[in-house]
Amino acid sequence: MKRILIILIMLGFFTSSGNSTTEPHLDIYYFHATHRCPTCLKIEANARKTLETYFSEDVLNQKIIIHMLNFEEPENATLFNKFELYSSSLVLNAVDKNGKETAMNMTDFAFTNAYDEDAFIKGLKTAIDKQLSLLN
Amino acid sequence: MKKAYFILSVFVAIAMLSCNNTNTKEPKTSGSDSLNTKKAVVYYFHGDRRCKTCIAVGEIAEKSVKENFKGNTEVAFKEVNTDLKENAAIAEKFQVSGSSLALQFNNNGKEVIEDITEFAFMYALTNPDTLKNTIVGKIKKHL
Repeated sequence: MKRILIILIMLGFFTSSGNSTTEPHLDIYYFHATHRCPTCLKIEANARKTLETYFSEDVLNQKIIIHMLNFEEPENATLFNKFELYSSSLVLNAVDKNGKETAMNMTDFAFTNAYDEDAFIKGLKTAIDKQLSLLN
Repeated sequence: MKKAYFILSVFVAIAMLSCNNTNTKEPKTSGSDSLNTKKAVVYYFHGDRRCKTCIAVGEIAEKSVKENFKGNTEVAFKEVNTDLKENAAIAEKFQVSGSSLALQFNNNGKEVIEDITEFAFMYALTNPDTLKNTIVGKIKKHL
């Protein structure tokens, strides 16, 4: 079962382009440009690996929703500007039962640790756990 | 009347400044034929919106050239914005579509291009000295 979940995450099966739920959940946004640099691709790979390893059940239950979005596409501009972003960015946005949103910008962390996979996964896991705790 | 002359003078001054700004724009990158005759050129390609790593790659590459080959007219650093239409030709020549770092060498008339993008992005933030030393070492080999 876990293997199937991992494959589905890798294929982006749970990747959403919109917010379709009002239940408490954590939106993980990764905004990227049309032309992506090696670091940008590495960050996505590390983020997916973190989710596969530690949060596959949460992804399946849509407690965590992954959004991989091209910030250069006009339809993503509103969301991109909402978080006051400028370039490729990783944002963890917790939405509690009252609809209150708490965003955590992990961009600086992600670019700094992109090539240290262990540090990246450990740091992102801690951040996701912290954001998930806001949903309770 | 004096007031009218003053306003006219202000308009003339603004117009002159505007013309001056247009003339001081950087030459188009696609017309960088003079760079092809140099022994080594470090080309740094990027888009309008750059990530942290991309900015670091550009800064290290430029610094590597300026600090180690100051006054050497055979070596140059060239920054190219791939989002500008005028740079489409050079981006195509180097076969790049986004952020990239490439070294162009002129070996007795034979042009050699070395793409070190993967390496550059891997070390730009974690070990900038490794990237700098690599760039400098590769250039020195061709001088």
